[in-house]
Amino acid sequence: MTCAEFQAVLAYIIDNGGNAEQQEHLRQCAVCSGLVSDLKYIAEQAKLLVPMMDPSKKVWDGIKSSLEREGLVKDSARGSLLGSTPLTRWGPANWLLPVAAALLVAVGLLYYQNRTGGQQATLQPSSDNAADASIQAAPLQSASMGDVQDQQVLSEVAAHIPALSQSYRQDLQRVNAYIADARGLVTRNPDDEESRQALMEAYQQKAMLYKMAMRHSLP
Amino acid sequence: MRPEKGELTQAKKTLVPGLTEADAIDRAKQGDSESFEALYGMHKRRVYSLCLRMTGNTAEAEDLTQEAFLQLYRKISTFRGESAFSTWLHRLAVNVVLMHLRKKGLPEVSLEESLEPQEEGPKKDIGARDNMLAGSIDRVNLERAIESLPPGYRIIFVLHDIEGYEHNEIAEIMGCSIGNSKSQLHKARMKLRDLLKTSRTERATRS
Amino acid sequence: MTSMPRSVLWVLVVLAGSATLVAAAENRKEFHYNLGPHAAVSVMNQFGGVTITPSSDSQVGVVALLRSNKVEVDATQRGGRLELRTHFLQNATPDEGRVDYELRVPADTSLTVRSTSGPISVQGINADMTLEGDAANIVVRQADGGHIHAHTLSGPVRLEDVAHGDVEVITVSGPVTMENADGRMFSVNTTDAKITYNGDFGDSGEYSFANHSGDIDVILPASASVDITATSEKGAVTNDFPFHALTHTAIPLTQGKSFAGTANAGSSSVRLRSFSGRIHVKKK
Repeated sequence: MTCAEFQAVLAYIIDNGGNAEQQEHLRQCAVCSGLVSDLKYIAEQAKLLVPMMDPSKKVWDGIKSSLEREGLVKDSARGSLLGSTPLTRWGPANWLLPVAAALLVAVGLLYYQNRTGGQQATLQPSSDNAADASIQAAPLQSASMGDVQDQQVLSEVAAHIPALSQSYRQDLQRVNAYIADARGLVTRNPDDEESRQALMEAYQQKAMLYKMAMRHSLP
Repeated sequence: MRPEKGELTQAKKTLVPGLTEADAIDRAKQGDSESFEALYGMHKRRVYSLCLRMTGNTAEAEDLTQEAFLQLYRKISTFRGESAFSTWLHRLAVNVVLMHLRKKGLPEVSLEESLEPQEEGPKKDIGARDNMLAGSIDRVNLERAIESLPPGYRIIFVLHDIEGYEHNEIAEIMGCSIGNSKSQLHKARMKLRDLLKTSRTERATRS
Repeated sequence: MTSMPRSVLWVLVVLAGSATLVAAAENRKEFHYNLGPHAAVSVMNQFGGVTITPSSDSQVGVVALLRSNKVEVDATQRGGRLELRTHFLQNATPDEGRVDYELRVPADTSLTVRSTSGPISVQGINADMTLEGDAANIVVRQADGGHIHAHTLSGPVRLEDVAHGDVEVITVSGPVTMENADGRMFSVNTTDAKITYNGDFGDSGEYSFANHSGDIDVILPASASVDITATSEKGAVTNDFPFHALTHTAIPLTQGKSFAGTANAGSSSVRLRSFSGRIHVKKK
């Protein structure tokens, strides 16, 4: 076997040693054995190369802002969902809740339809005109019927999935503030389609929240 | 692929006091920002080094490191723990780099590469044993030599000899045959051998 | 032979026993079904992720990883419908009750997925889907033609490469991100979450992004064909896209609080509305 013949197949035999003829050539040829030794030495040294360089700080800054923009990170102040409170089996369905959710949407519809007609809403709270600030200050006080339903929702959540109680309470406050602002818009602009649309969207938020809470009380 | 050098089992790795890697992964799936940062801190160096060695360019390597971690965080909910987290992340980073290089026009490994003997073969050397490299390579020179490799050679060399991928894995990643992977690796090592010998000679001349 | 101290032996026995219990408690269940074309699959989960990808054949494959032996998976098939439900057996903590589902389904399978904590991830499914979770991180990728309903309270929602269907996203505070997403009727409604849209709004769609106090960011390419109105009662509205400004509109136009304009043929209608959030439209 010549050196040229050996080196032509070296790429494919360097790991397993080759056949008897190739191994014999390697034993006898100083040039090829020196070559194989060098190549194996390079491979061994490469294995020892450890990562030494850190990326600059702007890499993490870029990652962080993308994570925030994409909503992949959550505010840890909300707390973990996986508390250690034991879960009981789901209790009997609370049929008041789906009724409440339907009534809530109906209240919203009735409210804005009546405002469109320039009439006072039959369910309008008496303090409505002065209300924006006070409503926002007491966020759980929506229309009187809504108050009761809000408390019922929060009680159901506390009973069936207490780890989410605080989260539901905060979300309910936010949604009620949305409803209050939207109602204020409709009050100021009763003929404005956009304002009425905003109120519908605010009530849609609340209906969804009720629906989610209701599911936890169903078997 | 061989395990990461000196790798601990996932459960035991501690990122900050009281926070193991397994916990950080679970919390990151829930969107916990501190856990994201902890995982980044643990793996950034290896991912960045991989990107830097494969591209040879610090700006590109930083962009690719950022992209690899963003993809990790987007997909972390799909990590099931069948392999080590670092292996999973590593594979993801390799794919990110390769996609980037393909967009730039990566020199594809030829599917019809002929097996030609090296033109500048050691058969021309005289007294080859005196010129052997053993014991004469230091890390800095080796890193420099790797940076000087043509991109196609460098990628295969980094994947196989540094990162520990097997030829069948490289063939799958690169879309070439196992034979081509071996051939390219051999050429990369031959080229490095030449570069390192030249460098050694230059140093000897200067001193 | 050296004898080990008795106390050390007991520790080893206890550790070995605990390890066995832990290994036995977390278990994996697999199911396979043939539901036929246009099947429907629902997953009702409390804690744990649900990941759905398309299968390469007409089968439905399910892998469920149960965190403990205090939870079961009930799987019920009726004709072309499959229901998977996580079932708590006894007092179980959320951690013990966790089940992670991985499903492979034909791309024309309609989906209903609920998971309180999530995450919920659906990729490559071109059928109707309803995805709900109180705090679930919901991601939908590569969906073509199906109607998508995504509802969360605080979980973020991400839509990527979504086209040709109707989309409804409702979330109280979970950020909504859309990349390369378009549809016929496309509605995003949040209370105080950020809404980010990066795309061209497709062709002939109707889009409505509304929130109470979150910001809305829209990034458009120059080729976008839109008829856009943007208004915020109390937040700033800014735009650096070269729209053809409209002056006679249904909304009152106030500098810095609203604008209206068209780009190219104006084929898609886009409504951006916030009460106190900032709205920013910019060119890609």
